Amino acid sequence: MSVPKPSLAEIAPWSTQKRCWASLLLVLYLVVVISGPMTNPIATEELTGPIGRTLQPVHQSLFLGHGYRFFAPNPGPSHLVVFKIYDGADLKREGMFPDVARHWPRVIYHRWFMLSETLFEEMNRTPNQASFDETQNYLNKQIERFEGAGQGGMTRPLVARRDRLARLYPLSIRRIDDLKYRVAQKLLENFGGTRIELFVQERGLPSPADVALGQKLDDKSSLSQLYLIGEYKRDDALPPSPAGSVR
Amino acid sequence: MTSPSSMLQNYFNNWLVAWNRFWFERTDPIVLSLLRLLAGALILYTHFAWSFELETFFGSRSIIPETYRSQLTGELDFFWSHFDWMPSALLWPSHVVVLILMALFMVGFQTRITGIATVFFVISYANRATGAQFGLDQINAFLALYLALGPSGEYFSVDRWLKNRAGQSAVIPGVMTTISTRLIQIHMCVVYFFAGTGKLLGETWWDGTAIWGAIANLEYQTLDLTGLASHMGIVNIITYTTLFWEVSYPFLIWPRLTRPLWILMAFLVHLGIGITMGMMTFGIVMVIGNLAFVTPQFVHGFVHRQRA
Repeated sequence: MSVPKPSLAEIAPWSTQKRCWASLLLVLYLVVVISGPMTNPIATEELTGPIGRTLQPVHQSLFLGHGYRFFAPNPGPSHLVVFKIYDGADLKREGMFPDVARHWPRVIYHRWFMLSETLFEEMNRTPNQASFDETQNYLNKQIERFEGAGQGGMTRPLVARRDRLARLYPLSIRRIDDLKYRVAQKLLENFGGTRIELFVQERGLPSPADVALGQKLDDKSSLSQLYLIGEYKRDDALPPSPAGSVR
Repeated sequence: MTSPSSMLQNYFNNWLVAWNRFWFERTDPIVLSLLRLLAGALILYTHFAWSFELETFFGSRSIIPETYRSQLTGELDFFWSHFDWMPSALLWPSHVVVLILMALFMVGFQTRITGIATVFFVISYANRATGAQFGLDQINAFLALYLALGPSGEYFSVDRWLKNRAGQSAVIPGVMTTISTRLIQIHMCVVYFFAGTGKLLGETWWDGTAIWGAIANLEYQTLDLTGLASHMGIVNIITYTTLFWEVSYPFLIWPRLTRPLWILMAFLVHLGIGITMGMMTFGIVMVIGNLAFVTPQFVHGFVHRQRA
């Protein structure tokens, strides 16, 4: 004996019209959700990039659009922001963030950790002026090449990329300079002092063999050299941001 | 013999039924209510913790420039935060109000209203703290969003207690419960899919040493597992298991046969990360998201066993 299949109305109590509209909204919403990690941190020039930029208002408004690449592609070394605060010529305080002894509870420690990683990442991924100019020259040559060969259609994504980079580069420089400045001023405000030097430092991951031979994770040999990223006086006005000052 | 057109018709009809069953059948909101209670508690804690550094991150001279998040995209700026237009004198009073609203959402009082307020403030805090946010904020935000969308205050809530007192004791399963739960489930799959496939690009996930990268990172460490340096075979197994579980999650979390195992793995992986790498809040929020895959019957059974 076959059991009669339940009708759609029995399964789903909403009217057909209501279900159709809801389905449409759900599909559109899922496109928004999936397009986030499809466009961040990497996107194609002609497909996902433009889709991501079109959907940016929704992503930004609803706090979607994240990449979700946790611990990918590899769990890497960590990055510290080290600071030296001076009162006149005297070194008043030396510290760093994140600092497990000072930042508590743990979720707050993690906020400081993310801030130090953000600063490092910003510095690391933003090219200096020479590299930026080199990229622009390369793109210009490519565009000329395609135009010379009568392949004008091929230049569109290159032109778009060149123009976008040209528009975003000064903003990146400004953004990083602003961030460094505010970090410096906040540390001076919190700890006193008249002048501050900010550094970034990488703590490498010791190999299993090194650790098996007795190396501790806090061994100084894992630390890179300090890399000066800025020097500020208390309540200094934010200096103008010449292109390329980031590194 | 069945003709191709009738096969196609049959396939389309089955697809339609499956789609409607997936999104639009009625579901008991007990799972959603449990998620509200747990996610609400975590969201409250996450934002309470900001109290220790409120001036530093949200004050008028915050460590992160107000313009930082808009400069990140450089093109469109639809990021928003109430901190942008709030007088600095109201920083602490508004923070207390926000915590009260989040506490009310957690206990399920006026859940719809406090739920919407919670989403608003979770996003608002996260946007203002761009540069210091991480996965926790992302999961907090979408959980709050979907919990505000569905009737998450039907169980374990003050709203329910008030309804019971007024004699409205029946909980009616609804379609919005299904939609909210499905959105959480799908969003979790999206998170794991991209987290997993992102790892496939990393050589340490292939040579089996990725977990060593987590163990040997001093800034993350809360439990010393460096003794595993002499037992890299175990590290290899944990690495491959984690990778396989994460990549396969969007596919194997749905079948009834594999679902309990994949949820169990979520508990092990995320609480393991929480205990050893000091990311307990992130571990817990991921576990909470995974609970969206638990059936209402299971939660009812669990509650009855606790009461018995």
